[in-house]
Amino acid sequence: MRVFAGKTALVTGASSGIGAACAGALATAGCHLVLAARREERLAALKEALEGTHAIRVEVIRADLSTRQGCEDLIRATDEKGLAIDILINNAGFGYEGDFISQSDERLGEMIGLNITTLTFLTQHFGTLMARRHSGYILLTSSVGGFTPCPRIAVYDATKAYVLLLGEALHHELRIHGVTVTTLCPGATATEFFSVSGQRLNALVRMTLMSPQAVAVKALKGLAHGRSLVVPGVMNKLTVWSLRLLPRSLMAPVSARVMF
Amino acid sequence: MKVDRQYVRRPDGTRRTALITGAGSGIGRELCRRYHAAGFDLVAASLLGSELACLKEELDAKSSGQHVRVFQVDLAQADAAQAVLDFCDENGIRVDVLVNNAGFGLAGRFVDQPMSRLREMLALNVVTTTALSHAFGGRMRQRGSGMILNVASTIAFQPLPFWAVYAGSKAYVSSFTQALAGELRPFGVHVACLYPGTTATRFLDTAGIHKSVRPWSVGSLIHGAAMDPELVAHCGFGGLLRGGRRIIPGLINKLHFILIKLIPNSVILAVVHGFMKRYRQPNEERR
Repeated sequence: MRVFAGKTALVTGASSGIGAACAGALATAGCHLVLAARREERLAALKEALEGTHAIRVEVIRADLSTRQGCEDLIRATDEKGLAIDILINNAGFGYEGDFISQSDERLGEMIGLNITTLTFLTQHFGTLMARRHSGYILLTSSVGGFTPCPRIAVYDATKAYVLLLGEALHHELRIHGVTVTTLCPGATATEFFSVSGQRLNALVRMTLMSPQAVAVKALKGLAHGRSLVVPGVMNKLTVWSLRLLPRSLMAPVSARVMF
Repeated sequence: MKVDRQYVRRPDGTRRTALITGAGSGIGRELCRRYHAAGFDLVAASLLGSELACLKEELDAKSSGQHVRVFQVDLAQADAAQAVLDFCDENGIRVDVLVNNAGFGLAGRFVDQPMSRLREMLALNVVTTTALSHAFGGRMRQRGSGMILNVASTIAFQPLPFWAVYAGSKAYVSSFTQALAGELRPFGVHVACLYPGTTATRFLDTAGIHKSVRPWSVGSLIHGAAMDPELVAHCGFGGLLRGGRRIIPGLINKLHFILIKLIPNSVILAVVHGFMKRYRQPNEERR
């Protein structure tokens, strides 16, 4: 991760979970930070903590990235502050658990807006600038759920299937421009994700639970080494590997059994 | 194709209604013809009013009592699904079969693709498909009957440089539809996903893949390999009725599905990259 020293990273969803952990790991590597999220107080606290411990600069930008306005605000803010982003950590995202029909249209729209649309436009905006400079790193956060559809997590897993396919395609497309695109596929991680989604973890899922710090370190190491895909942790690797062996028609019913 | 009366008529004897998006051309139009011929009432929703008018004229001329309604709407707008729902409610239409067919693709370098066009594509392929499935799926679940057919693509089976966002959007449709199928099955609602490969519709030209005078150019080859949309519609229609969840029209596409798991991604990516090199130029707006 020494390759990140002295560079500037934009981390979305930085107020908690994997985003905050990535910010911490990057700070340790000597990377300056731009932290974006909705919860300004948390970002301010994180800024204070990181600037206090490491010799780096931390900018904070408040934005609701689930909306088009929020995405544009973030881009405008980085322009206005003259911030040259070398590393983009597309971490902001959320999920839900429950039957699709009873989700609200609004919530589904926000999820697609954040997990798909904002992720795509931030990647395009900063990826284009990185390609011109012929250097840059972009991390996209998918999920183990991107490899398989699962009833009761229909839209979330589908948004992660989108990110998985986008990321692998862009890894190849942007490589010749000197830009690394890495897709991170965490499994269950001990963050606020589950309190937001409302899912209760069963014993099987708990076995695979990782800390956000462990996920962040694996993700950033993969990014630094130019990997296309990072599946952190042995249990998650096993899950993905066994999914690849499963006939596609069995994926949805098996996932539903395992998860719930 | 003779279809069992129970699929075409409700228990009370009235005709079932099929709502088809992107009905003005291509696979959508062929699906309208198919459902109409089988005896369904139709709601055809699409962008171009002129295409819908032609379609209605054609179908009314062959009608044996089927009701054909057309609804001109830009399905890439944020409120499109609500507009479709309102149209059906205002006209007292109960939708028995929903076909989310409207969609388009964009080929080219990701960094060159205009954001506005990408937004439209995501709005149409992802958001509207989800919103319509939500609105009509909810009603079908309440009634305990209904069918939804979502159109994905064989492009969803593997990552494809120069088709990144489009392939991602179809991976979304595929994953979402398979999960929804599992959720709605216990309620008597049958959900399936159709995976056409390259099909001879406006899709290719809209995406930026054009035939050229040279028969062996990449564009010409792709156009040449394109499947007949009538055949795709026939497979989609039949597959949905037969209860399939994953409908892949044509032998070549089926082989694609089976073999793709055996081929490492690196090989696929290298082949596609070679093929698509010509399309690394920025897309131009076509007339």
